[in-house]
Amino acid sequence: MIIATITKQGIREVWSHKFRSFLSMIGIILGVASLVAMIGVVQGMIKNFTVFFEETGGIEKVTINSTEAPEEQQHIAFLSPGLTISDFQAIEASVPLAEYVSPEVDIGWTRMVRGNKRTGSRPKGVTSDIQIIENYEVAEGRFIGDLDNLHARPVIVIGSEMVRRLYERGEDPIGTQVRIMNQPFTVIGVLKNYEFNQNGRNALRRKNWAAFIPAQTAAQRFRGDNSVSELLLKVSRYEDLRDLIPQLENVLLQRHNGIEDFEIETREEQLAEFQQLEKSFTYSLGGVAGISLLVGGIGIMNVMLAVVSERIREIGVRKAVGARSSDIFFQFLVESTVISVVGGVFGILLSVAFLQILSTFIPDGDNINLFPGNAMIFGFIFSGAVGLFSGLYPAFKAAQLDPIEALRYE
Amino acid sequence: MSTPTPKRRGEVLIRLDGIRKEYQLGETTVRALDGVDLSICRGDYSAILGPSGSGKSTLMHILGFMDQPTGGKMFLGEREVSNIRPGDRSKLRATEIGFVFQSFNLLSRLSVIENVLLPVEYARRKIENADETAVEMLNRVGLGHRIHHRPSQLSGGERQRVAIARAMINKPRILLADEPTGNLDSRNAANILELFDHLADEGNTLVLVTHDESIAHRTRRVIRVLDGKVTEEEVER
Ligand SMILES: Nc1ncnc2c1ncn2[C@@H]1O[C@H](COP(=O)(O)OP(=O)(O)O)[C@@H](O)[C@H]1O
Ligand SMILES: [Mg+2]
Repeated sequence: MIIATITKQGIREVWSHKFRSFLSMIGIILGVASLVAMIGVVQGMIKNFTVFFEETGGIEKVTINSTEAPEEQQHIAFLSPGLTISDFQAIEASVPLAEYVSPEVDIGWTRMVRGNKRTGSRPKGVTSDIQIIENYEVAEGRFIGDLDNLHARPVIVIGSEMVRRLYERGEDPIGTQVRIMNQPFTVIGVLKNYEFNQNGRNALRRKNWAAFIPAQTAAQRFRGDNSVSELLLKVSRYEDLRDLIPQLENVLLQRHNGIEDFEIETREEQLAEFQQLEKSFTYSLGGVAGISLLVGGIGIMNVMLAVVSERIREIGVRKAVGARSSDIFFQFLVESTVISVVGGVFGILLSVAFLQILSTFIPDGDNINLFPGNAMIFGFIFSGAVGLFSGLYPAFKAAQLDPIEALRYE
Repeated sequence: MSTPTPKRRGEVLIRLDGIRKEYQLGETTVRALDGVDLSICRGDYSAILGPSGSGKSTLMHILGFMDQPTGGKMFLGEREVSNIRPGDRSKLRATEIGFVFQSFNLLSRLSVIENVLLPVEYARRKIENADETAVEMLNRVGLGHRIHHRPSQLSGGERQRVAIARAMINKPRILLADEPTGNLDSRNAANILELFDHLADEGNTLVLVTHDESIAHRTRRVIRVLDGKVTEEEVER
């Protein structure tokens, strides 16, 4: 009952000095607004990165590129057969940690023709695992299967941009034929259309340009040998990467007669780089928000100190009729908390406006989180904590007052 | 100087035994109370009479648990209360003592009834219908029709009535009033004194401070104070 009454009177006290209370809240309002807005912006940045990162294979993806042999092995480089489809088969057979493996047989930029329509394209020879390694979803038809590879069938799966360029609207590509370097391919699948706006552009547009044919088909019909430009792998758990890399090295070095004409790349560095960037953003923006909250807290403390000295007689009266020091302490703590929590709520409202403005004005603003709910809850709790903290000293001073001296105070 | 307690008086509520109160002001020591022995019994209607600066207020503050003596002993009933903790003194202020000040000391931002209810809140006692009790209290002091007014809307005499209602709301054992008519004109003062007489007739224990002989002689017991000492007592003429 006493707590309810103190709280009620605290709110009334704040309300009865609306303008002063508002002035004392400004720091908190701006602090919470910038804190929440900052989190919204960083979340947008994170989303920009993570969506792109995940849609291009995620952290579990590993790429093996063929490279020049190092200087000291140049004279014996001919001992290595280079990166081939056989390497792919060897890895598939003997490296179980490589959950998904696909070669990438690149036949370069070429024209894809259908009737009188044509478009540039870069078909790649792959196996079915590429779907999982690089996150491709089939919208219609099916993806390339093992039998397609085994028999080197002339089949193709194309992305939505290819469809747009080669087909009339509403036309069904499945079962139709397209020609690549004058060789007919039957379209067996169409990929999902990928869209992710960033900087006013579709960051995933490359995926819509995809054209996949069986790796064996690409090797036999276009390259005439077994060579591959890349091997792509994916582990099922990130932790497996550490063991996977040496195993891959062993298998490949053995097959390449010790020649180090390949390079194993993980995406950890890319992720770490981003995380570094994210960290520095968070720290600098968080620092700004933190400082304004600190300033806001000091502002509230200042006002509360003034309030306490303005109400010394009241404190004396309350104590004279039986208030304990803790009652007085709590009374002023409630007032400072009410001020800052109300300020926090205003700040959250203001952050919505901030984010709206930021999303239209900053170049990377497409994916800004316009309503970062968690950040808002965090901002609310934080403002309450600032209020509590900045009220401690004034409330303590008030609670310490001697009733008789307080009553004598003019 | 100890006072023999006459048989017909009620039980002893508060007893002071050689109470001293000193203030240290730099090098000099101000002796506000210099060995006061005093008993307040149930049903007493006493006046503490003395010139300005004689220590009356200091004595009242000690009786009202607002201040602590620097020497001597103090008993509330059988319990020694000379050195109790601040929290306990707050509790005694809320529950055992009603205090009326010269300058009313109402909270201007609270309504009349909220002022009266303050000691109820701080006493932390479950009182059913606290609001009704407050209204009843205000009725008794003749202000039942102004419970939602602000103190600033009342005259001095009315404010002091509110203060008396506030002091009485928790049915304290003793009502202390320090020059309660000091800020009032003679007509209002007379009203307030009549109210005190009435409260005393009802059996309440009252101690009021004054420097005015005529006010002191309305009571049944006059305690004269000079230079921090009780010099003389007249009981029941
Ligand atoms: N806080 C204090 N500090 C120093 N001296 C005080 C204080 N309070 C009271 N005194 C002194 O104690 C004496 C008694 O004061 P008080 O009890 O207020 O007298 P009265 O109420 O009879 O006028 C006075 O000499 C006064 O100056
Ligand atoms: Mg006095």
